[in-house]
Amino acid sequence: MPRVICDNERCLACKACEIACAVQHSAAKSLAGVFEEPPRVRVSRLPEARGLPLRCMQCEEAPCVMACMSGALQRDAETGLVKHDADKCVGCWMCVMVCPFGGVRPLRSRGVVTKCDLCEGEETPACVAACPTHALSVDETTAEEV
Amino acid sequence: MAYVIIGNSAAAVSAVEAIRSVDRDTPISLYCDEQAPIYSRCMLSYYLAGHVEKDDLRFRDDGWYERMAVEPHLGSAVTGLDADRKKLRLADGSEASYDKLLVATGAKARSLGRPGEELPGVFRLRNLPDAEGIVARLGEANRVAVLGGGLVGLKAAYALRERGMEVSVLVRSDHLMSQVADARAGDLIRERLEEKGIEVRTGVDAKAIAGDGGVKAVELSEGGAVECGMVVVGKGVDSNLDVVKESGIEAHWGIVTDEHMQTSAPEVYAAGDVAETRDLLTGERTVNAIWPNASEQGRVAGFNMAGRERTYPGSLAMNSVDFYGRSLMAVGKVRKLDQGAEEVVDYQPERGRYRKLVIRDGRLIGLLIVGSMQGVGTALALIKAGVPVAEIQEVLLAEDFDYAKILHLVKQYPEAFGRREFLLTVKSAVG
Ligand SMILES: Cc1cc2nc3c(=O)[nH]c(=O)nc-3n(C[C@H](O)[C@H](O)[C@H](O)COP(=O)(O)OP(=O)(O)OC[C@H]3O[C@@H](n4cnc5c(N)ncnc54)[C@H](O)[C@@H]3O)c2cc1C
Ligand code: SF4
Repeated sequence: MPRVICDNERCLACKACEIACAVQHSAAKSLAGVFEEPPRVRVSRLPEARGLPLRCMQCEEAPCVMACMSGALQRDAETGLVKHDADKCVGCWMCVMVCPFGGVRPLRSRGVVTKCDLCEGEETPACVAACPTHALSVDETTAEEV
Repeated sequence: MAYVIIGNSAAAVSAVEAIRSVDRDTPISLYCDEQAPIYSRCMLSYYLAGHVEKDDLRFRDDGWYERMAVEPHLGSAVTGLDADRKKLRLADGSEASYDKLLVATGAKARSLGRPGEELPGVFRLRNLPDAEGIVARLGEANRVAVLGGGLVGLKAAYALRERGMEVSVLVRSDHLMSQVADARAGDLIRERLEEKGIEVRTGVDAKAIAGDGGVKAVELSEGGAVECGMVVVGKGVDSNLDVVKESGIEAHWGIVTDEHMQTSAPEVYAAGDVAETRDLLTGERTVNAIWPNASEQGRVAGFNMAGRERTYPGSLAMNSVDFYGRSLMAVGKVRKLDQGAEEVVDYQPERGRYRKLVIRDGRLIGLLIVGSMQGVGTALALIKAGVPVAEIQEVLLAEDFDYAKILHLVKQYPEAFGRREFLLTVKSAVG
């Protein structure tokens, strides 16, 4: 399964990935979308101008899928990706409670969560394309290879 | 070869999906006493509140049985099993054979055990028919008494308040959610419920339900009564053990399972609210009756049934509720302080914020929060893996705690985060 990985030595916590993510997922795909659509990746600031973008890792044994009691989070049989269906989500936050990476973000105002969808349909995820230091990339390593 | 699954809920669905991920061909039959297609009982309170429709209760769609090549027998209760002959007894008197069996019959709501419980207007909330019964009676009562201040009771109270009813929650203990949280957390939830017009009375016990052809009031042991036209009983659950009762399969609170989710009978597995497992933190046998445990146990059972060995590390008590935008999460041992354990607390009731860590032998064994959910999942991973946390107590308690703040620890305990996922999150750190 593909996922966005981070060379954390390179991350400068500039948040370009956050903005690109918000724009990509906004209705108009414009900068105004930054205010309308919360990013699915969140940069955690670390000392010395470092950071780590927290995001969904598309876990093989995804705890969020096992915790989701509405069926909003399910593994896609074809792509193997963990998918979230906001229409089914009821905002119980069970998935937030069990995600080790902080990759599922609660949106209190809407009563649902949101997470990385790898910008399905695009060639490169927006965050990866936007990262000025090339800290982010898409990794397709399978379990056996690690 | 044939797999048979008893149940149609979290554990059953998860087991089927695990089996089918490695075995496309062997027939699977599924028996369920209820008629309804796959639905989530956790969602019943949202339905009760009028926030979702009945169709939205489905956590797998109608095509699921076909895609999974499962033969469903809905409305067909299993009444017993003969583990020597590998046969199930069905309610209509017939038998069914299995080679590998999963018992995922879940649990039932406990009754109140007080007079008046059979009166029309007295409900529990476990199954779809329970919820439908309440909805059908909504027009006939303005006031409801909810007996019990646990998760299900409070969810029912919230839902019926959303329907405009006058709601009184009557609780025997001195604070809400006493089975999963402490008084500080319970009181913060109480405050929010009261702000929204839900009456909460603690330290009171229902002696009887009074009425004549319908509920009129709940009589209290302390004297006095609470008038109401409806009662919802939320007094916890008991595992559905009837299927194994005379089978010789070992059961106490639930069906006793080993680390493969296998019961004392060969080729018979159990998972979910019906299964007794080892608690990850206490090492004691218990039933941690929650959805994520049911799914994980079902998954482990499914893989083992299909011949792919998986071990179950043990169950963990955890819960998440949210009332009117105030969240409570309780993981592990947070109720009362064990010997040798210590608490580290950030309690700011005026901000609706509470965060408590429980630490024993340098390891995190409990986390209780009200308000911000920041970092809870990461802390839960530390609890599960028993990672030493003495050096990061303050980091864990801080408002900005998250995964990134403990990368140095993550490097030492990659298995806590799923080895593969860890390697991928911080590639350069290990490369
Ligand atoms: C209102 C409500 C809210 C909840 N909220 C949460 C929550 O927020 N978070 C959480 O973690 N948990 C919650 N729970 C608990 C959660 O629903 C259970 O832990 C979970 O459903 C357990 O799944 P299970 O598959 O083990 O069993 P169950 O869901 O109990 O399902 C058992 C299945 O077996 C079938 N069955 C039983 N006996 C027989 C028989 N003799 N023959 C054939 N079939 C049989 C039943 O019809 C059913 O399909 C809630 C429960 C309720 C009622
Ligand atoms: S918040 Fe939504 S996605 Fe997460 S577990 Fe609850 S219903 Fe599923």
